[in-house]
Amino acid sequence: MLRIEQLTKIYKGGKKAVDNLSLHVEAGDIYGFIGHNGAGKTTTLRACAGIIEFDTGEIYINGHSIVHEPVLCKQQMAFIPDNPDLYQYLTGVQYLNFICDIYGISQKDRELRINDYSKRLDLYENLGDLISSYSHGMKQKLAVIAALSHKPKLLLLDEPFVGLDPSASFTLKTIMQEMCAEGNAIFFSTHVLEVAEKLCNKIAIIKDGKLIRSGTTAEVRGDESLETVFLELIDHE
Amino acid sequence: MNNILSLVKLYYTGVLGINKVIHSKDQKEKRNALGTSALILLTVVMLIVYVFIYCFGIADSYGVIAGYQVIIAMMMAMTSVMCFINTALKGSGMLFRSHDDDLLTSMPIPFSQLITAKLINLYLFNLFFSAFIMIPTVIVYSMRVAVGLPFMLFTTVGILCIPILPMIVASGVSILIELFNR
Repeated sequence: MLRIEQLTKIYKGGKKAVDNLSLHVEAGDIYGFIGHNGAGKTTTLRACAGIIEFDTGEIYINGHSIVHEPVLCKQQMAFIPDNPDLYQYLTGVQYLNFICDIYGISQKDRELRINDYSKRLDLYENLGDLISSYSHGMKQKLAVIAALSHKPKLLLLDEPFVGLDPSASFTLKTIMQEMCAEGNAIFFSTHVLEVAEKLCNKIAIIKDGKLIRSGTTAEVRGDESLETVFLELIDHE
Repeated sequence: MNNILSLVKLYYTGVLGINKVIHSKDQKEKRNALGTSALILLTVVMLIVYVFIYCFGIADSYGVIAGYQVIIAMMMAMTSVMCFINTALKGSGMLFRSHDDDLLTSMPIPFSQLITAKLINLYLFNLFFSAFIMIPTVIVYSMRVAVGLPFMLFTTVGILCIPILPMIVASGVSILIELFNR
């Protein structure tokens, strides 16, 4: 579903944010991406989403290159940043309709999906309100509904649980599991190791732009907790 | 084409704060938005009144000596300069550093359509200014000179075209500045 091959991204000033990173996310995977602040998680996700250019390597979405066939790739995926910058002057439903217009979602399908996800995430009653009146968590929920409204095959999430209340976090985790059960894939970054450990079937650990460990959760963790493994790797690698 | 329309519609939903006035449930925010909208409308009305007064002034002084077409020539020049300054100030931010760049580039919209939508947005913004200046100008001219249908047609096309040249030049300047900054 998502293939990252020898990705390198160097920012202005020479900082190597991502260094020769390769990983594969397959259909049905919930792939957790963990690392300390500034490790290169967001840069990798943004490169996968086609937001930033990269220096070397390739990224394929369902076999299509994000560099050479960006529109085809983006049609099949959705990206939710850690701090969604939504249009403050729109109402929730106006924003969702805009997203559905761009993805060409029929009126019937959009109504069904928006109603379903907004009720599950407890945002249905607020969809007619202006986004400027939303809290961070509500904006996060709206971004999630927008991302799910076009049924992406690949969902990229940057710190999706930050700002969500416990009930919304639980619902999002359930939705993520349902998506993957349907054969879609999720690649997300998180600092919450307990969530990664329980939710993901695969995990990758990144440090200073380099992938230092990846594989199934059981392989990465071994006999210890993910937290112990992560701290050991970060301190000693 | 649908993407471009959706993007242009998106940008103009926020114009004048009308969407906030309609949908806000916070009375204070609603009042603020209404106040801002009213202030913008008042500015536009004042601008139109000022243009009328200015055009009558030109007509009564230079117009008598140099011919009434001087009114249109002078106001066209003024509009072009305004469009140039407006695009030079707003263009760079609008084209290269918009707050929604990340969101839009992560969606399946070809780059050419994104840029086209932004340019249309910029053009419409300039066109509003041009219209507010040129329509009163043409009215004053028509009051002094008998004009026919061909004049009205050419003038309409002229008003639609006025923002284009200054926009191209100012956008070029913005692109050059952006390239030097990279």
